[in-house]
Amino acid sequence: MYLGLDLGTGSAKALLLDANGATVGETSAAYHAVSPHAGWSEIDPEIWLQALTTCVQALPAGARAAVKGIGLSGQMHGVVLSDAQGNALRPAVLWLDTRAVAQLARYPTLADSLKRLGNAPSAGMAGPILLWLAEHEPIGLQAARWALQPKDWLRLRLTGIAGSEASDASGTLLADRQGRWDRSLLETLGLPDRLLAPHFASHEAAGTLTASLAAALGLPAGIPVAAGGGDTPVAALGSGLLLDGSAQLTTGSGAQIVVLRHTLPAPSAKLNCYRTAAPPELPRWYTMAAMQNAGVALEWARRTLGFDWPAAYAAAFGSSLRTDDELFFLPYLGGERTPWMDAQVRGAWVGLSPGTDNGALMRAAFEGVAFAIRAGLDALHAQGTRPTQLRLAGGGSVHRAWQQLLMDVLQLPLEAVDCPNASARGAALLGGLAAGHWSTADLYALAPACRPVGEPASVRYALPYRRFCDLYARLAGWFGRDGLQTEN
Amino acid sequence: MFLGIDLGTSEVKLLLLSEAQRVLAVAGEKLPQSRPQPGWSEQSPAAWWAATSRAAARLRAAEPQAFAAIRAIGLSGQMHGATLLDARDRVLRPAILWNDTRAAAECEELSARCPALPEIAGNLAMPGFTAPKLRWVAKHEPDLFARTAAVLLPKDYLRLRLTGEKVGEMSDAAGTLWLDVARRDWSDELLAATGLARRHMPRLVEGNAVSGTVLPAVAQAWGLPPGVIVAGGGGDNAASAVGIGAVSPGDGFISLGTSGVVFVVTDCFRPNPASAVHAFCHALPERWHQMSVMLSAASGLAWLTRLTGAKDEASLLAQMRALPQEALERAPVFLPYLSGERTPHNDAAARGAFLGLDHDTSAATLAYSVLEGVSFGLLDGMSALRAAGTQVERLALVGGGSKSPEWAQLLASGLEIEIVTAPGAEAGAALGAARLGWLAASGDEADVCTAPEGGQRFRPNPAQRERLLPRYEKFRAAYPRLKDLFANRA
Repeated sequence: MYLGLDLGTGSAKALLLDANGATVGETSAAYHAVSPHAGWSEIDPEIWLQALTTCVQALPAGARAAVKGIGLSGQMHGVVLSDAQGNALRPAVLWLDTRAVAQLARYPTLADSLKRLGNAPSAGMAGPILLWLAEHEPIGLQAARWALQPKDWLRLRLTGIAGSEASDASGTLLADRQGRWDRSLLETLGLPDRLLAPHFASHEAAGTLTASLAAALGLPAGIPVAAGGGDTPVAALGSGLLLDGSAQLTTGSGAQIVVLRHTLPAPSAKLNCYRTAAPPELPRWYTMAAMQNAGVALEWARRTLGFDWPAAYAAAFGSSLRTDDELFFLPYLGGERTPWMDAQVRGAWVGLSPGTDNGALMRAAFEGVAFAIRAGLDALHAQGTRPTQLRLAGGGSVHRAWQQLLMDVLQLPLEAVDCPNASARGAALLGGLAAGHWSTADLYALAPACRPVGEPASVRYALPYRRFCDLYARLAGWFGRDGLQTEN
Repeated sequence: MFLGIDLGTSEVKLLLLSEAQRVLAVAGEKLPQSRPQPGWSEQSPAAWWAATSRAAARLRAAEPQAFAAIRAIGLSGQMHGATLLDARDRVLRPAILWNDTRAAAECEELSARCPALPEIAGNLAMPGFTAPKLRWVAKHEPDLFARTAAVLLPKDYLRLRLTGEKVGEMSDAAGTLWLDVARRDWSDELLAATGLARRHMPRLVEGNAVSGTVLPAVAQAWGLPPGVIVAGGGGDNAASAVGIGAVSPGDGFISLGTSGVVFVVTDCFRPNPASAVHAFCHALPERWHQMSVMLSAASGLAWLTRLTGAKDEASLLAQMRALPQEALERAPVFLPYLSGERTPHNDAAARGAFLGLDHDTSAATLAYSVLEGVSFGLLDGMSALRAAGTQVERLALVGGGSKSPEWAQLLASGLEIEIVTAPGAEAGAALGAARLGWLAASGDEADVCTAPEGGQRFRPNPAQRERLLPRYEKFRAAYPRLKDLFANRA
């Protein structure tokens, strides 16, 4: 058995694979970040460990006794300050946190940051967060032995060894394009480089399970624990995204398009570019368009319009709908990242008339989310990344009409890949690699099946999409004035 | 007894008024609106008459003795609607209503053909008015135009069915763009610009004058005594003014109905067309009025109720009342231009919008946005009247929206005037019509046109105004950003 442990944003997961890569058990336990001040997002790391312990203990005891390797994945970008034993000295600061905006001024210019780090500086990343801690909690920072990303802190507790790896490091704004710590940048920023742990390869063992944690979890002591990786790249691995140029669209609360790249992608202020967590023969980087509002906007629209989901789909896609090309929905309920990078923008319905009914508004919401994803795809195109098809994560359970709308707006064929808990699965695969049970070549056979969904069937969204982008451009400055929007 | 008939947009309302100023009974019948194409709005004149007759029968059944004592009828109605008749007074096509927006191009043509139009007619050419609609018919339905022998406004069509006579009245006629508003007579120049002449027009009377008598056949069918006179009547806004006693210069009201109107009586013709303010005759001699008009007002709340699946407006407003203050301050901005807009933008292509939706926005928040957005639209109108020199300290609030105390308070604080709700205000135009009937039967203005008693007073709340001002700035900043988008239709 091979065990994957995932520290997601909202829950921990544990997943067991047998020697053939079949899922034998999966458990999860939720937790919640807290916000002691506006814009803060923190959690006590012990809560993570308790949640994971609960998950693991819920797996069958016999199966747990047969685990031969553990892999890890976790939410990226955030920071845990701990002592040498892995006791957290303060709550972890997470990727949603926005306190470190002022500290961004300490970074090199945007052009230099892009060249050196591959990403535009933003507040919810380890580098700016450490700068904030240096300014506001200097004694605490001095007392810390390590500044670790979430899954690396977990591994310190599991193995007693502090380590890092390239995929998570590349999301800290403290690493170069290869994902190695940029020690001269640390010096420029005035941060002590002793805080950053030495690198291990994501797919190799970075320690072994200590006796005491083994006892607590009901697992064999001494088994290898892989270095692991950030949840996004490990999910790509778990769902079988392995080839150069392969691209996957995930629509959850937000939407991400992840494209694997064998060669170093050109950096872009509108996109994110990080190291993968894959063995060295596989693509080393992925470039990502991250859109903030997908499922969360559709759920908001459904709720506000008084529909349950079946009624929402029937009204939006049913034959009785009178389509309205003058009606638009901006889905930006919480601001937007790719491509506008605009924290101030909010949602809108524009083009309302007396004949507009809730079916038309729901349809506009689906189209608006599709257009927002298309805008992200266009940012990838501008950077020189041009996928020829997209895998749709969870695609098998996506409503047929919504699938077709996505294809028609994105003008790409879709394949459905169904891999629930892809990060936890990918973590378990890394555990198997670290234990020497699987090799890189095995990963292709272990990939979940992909099923073609269809092709684009219409070009009717070309003009409405341009008008959607035009609408955003016309409204963009309006949202930011005082009196209506709070800081976010 | 006096009978008032108000031919509204969504219903026709009949009201029985006694000489003691008591309203004995009211009966209404709903009227469907037809929207065969986007921006179109039509109704069947035959359906108007049928609904009026049904309501009359119910009124008679409710108050048989009073009904049999009716001496005079007054008419009020939705303005601007074009009813086309052939040489035998047969209806040629569905009437094109005040909120139809198809005739935008024809407005430009009319203004080009007749540059003096705003000075003579007291108004800019707008698609809601009657004259541009007839130019549209001439262009798109030339056969019908060729057969058109007479054009009547909605209430005047009812008068034709009641009396057999084609007669118009000053306040309603002022909404056609064919009237020389200062001189209170048809303008040959304006008629010629539309391709029409005086012979297509009814003769004109003042609102408080006799226009005809009820035909014997109709009197018999309805159960009226013989010889009931029919007064000139008034357009719905002028009739509402008579209904709440706004008959002297400086009096006025805000009507929150399907449309939203700010109405102030003036002692002379005071046009200011550039601000898209209307200057019309009042339904009483030697008086005029100024109006700002927003095309969609209280109807916005009914529309939102349907959209969100709320049980009814009252329950949606109850949810809104439960919202904390912070939710109101973060509520989206609503642009109320669901059917385009008249005052102040004069833009038939404009549409509505909710701007600034966030995770906390709910149906209840949107309800507040609608109330506030409509109030801001009325504030734009009030500003246009003030810019034209009109000063107002107090206005009555009438129409369906007047039932909401939140709306009344928003208006008081936003417009910085005292708002007085008039009880029974929904019956405003029908009551005014009944009063005009009374005046035609020799009633004295001072006795007839009294202001209602009671009602609630709402004074401006400075703290509320402080909170509204920045939101009003955001409201005003939105339309200029969207104007071209609305205009560039695919």
